[in-house]
Amino acid sequence: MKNEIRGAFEQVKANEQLKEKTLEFVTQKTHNYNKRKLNRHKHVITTFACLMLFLTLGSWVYLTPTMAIAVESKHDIELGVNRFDRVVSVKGNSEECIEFAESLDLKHMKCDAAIERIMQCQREEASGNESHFSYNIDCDQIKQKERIQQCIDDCIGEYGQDNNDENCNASNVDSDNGENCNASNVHSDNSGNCNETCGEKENRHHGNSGAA
Amino acid sequence: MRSELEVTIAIEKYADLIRRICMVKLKNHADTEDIFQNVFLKYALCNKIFESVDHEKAWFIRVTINACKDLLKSFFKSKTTSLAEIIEQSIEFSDDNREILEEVLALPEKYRDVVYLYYYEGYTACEIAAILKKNVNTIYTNLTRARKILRERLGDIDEE
Repeated sequence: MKNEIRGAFEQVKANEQLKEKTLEFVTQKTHNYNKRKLNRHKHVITTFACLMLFLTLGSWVYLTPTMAIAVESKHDIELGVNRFDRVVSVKGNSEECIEFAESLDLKHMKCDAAIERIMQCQREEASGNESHFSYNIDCDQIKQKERIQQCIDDCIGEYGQDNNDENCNASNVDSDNGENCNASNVHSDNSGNCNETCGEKENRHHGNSGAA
Repeated sequence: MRSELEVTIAIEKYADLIRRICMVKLKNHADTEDIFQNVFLKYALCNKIFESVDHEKAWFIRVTINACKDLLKSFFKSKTTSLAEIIEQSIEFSDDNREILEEVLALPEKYRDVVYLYYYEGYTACEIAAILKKNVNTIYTNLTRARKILRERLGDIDEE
């Protein structure tokens, strides 16, 4: 029986047309499958590209300084501040200043907090001696400049009151006319008058009016 | 996903096997085409790594039988098949072979695939049970009954 059945089934063959049709069908389907797969990948690539673009733009917006604050004290430091009032770069004029700046870990801090920390450290370093503090804001955006200036002034004011600091002088040097002024403890207005001293500005800032 | 070359080789290698299973399980040529397409598409898309040639062959048998069952489950197929259509497929064969095929294909469905796998593919009852996912004793019973029916119908055929 086995041989007869085997012989009978042996004659059953798939014809070439059926094989060709099947191959054609599978090729067509898998080709489309590849296309679908590629389309799926396209979505992933597009999403990834958008994400990268967003991150790049976001980084650029965040990390680009729109304002520079030069802090002049025992250690001269220049802070780069972004449009969100956060410190994004810290520079020092000398290695000592750079070390000092790095030790404060000012990056990504709010600008006023950074100034406060600088002042606090300066005062600690001065340890009872008279400490001098002045700053200079360079910014094209008037609103931001005013806002930061106000923040720093408040900060300086609070700092002086909180610490009853009698040995700290603080002033603002406007860079627009800075070259005509004595940069230390002097505020000059846009008209070029360099006669407003820290003492005269003690209501706005803080400090020992007599020291100026 | 498998390459076109792999699919072509598989078609050359297993087309006859699938054609025979389709003949055993199905009723007409159009269905056979559907099964061919489904089985080889599944093969092309699956990433299964076969341990051996036998493993691959068993996979094709299993997938083909399942595809046939799925096709037969559909309402229209189950309502529109007849024995005449099955026998129609064996017209092209010689008288002796045709008679045997007709008798095998006239067996109840549950006996047909067992007979084919046992007598033509040479699988043992245990292997058939594994492929069809049935009890070994069921396979033995089906084989015995199928053999009895064939003996009655074909009469002078040699018992082996």
